[in-house]
Amino acid sequence: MVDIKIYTTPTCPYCMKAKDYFTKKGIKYTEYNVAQDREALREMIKISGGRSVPVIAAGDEVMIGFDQAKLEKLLEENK
Amino acid sequence: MRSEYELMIIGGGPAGMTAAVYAARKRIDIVMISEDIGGQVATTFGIENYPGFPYITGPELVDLFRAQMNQFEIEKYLGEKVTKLLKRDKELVALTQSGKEVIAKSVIIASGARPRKLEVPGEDMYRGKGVSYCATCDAPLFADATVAVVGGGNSALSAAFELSRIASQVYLISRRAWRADEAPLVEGVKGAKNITPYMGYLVQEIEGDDMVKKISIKSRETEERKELAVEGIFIEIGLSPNSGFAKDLVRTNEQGEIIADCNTFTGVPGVFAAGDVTIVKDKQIVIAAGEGAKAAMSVFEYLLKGR
Repeated sequence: MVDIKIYTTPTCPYCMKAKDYFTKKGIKYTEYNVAQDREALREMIKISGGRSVPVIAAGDEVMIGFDQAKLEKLLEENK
Repeated sequence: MRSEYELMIIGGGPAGMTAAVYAARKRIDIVMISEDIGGQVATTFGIENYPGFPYITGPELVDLFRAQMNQFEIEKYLGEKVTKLLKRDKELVALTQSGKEVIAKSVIIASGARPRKLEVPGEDMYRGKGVSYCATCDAPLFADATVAVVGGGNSALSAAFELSRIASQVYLISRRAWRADEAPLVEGVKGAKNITPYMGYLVQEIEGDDMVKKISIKSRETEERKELAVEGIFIEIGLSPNSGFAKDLVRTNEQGEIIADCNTFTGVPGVFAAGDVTIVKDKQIVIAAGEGAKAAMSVFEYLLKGR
């Protein structure tokens, strides 16, 4: 299984949805709170080319926002 | 999939879920088709005006609605978008994006609304690159930045106020005088030293390189143009109803809201509509839930007559 990183803000409901999804599926992930962690914010902007949360990185694949169908496909391809 | 249900509910927000609970308690056989559960509530951070809950987060309220609905056996197609709703003889037929055809004797359209777009150059290109429709989500990413908020309603003022505590400078751009009527909010915005209002201005264009760098605005009165250097622009100009799939079946107003009477009847036999997708004036969770309950009651009466 590839490393899953999720960049979040504490007030973002889509981030909560994404984390709920990982928890339900038993998928381990590392969370970066970019509202506080400036270093992680810079990294997030670099890999996503954007300024919007959540950003989910699975290995080299990066997804902006939470779209369950797309995420499942991405996880399937990166098993 | 069964051939015909008694009731099809399109949408899984407060209106749709409340309709489902009321209809299920009347032993109506239901199918729900929705892209998600919770609709806009799922992406609302804090709610302070839903009766019985002095404060609750959007996702928590959605979980409670869902748990109550899931006590009943309701067939659901989630992650499904209805592309067309039509009448075939006496049956109502929904066609979905994945190619399903769902048939029912009656329908409650409770498909809600989505954030309205500005429709200016640069808006799509910079979405997620400075353009945001979710201040709750993205505000913390603009610490010490200069940002703009567009709109003059409660949601725009709320976004501006939230941002004023994070960003260094907030421009609040509205076409006309603020419509916001929540007094503590209006006072908060007026009292914030780093919020500069531009009332009577239109956004003309959003520009940048990889990310948003500036916006241009124009005074409606003097036509004078101004450029504002911003890293973020939060668009809070109201809602656009998700009614496109039903336009050939039911009547809508200029904004695309479905015209329904005070009992949620659309005028088309068997077709009812509830919540933010309709002309109901106030888009509130408790109102959507109430309209959903009314719609389920109306459906019950309609089905009784047909038996």
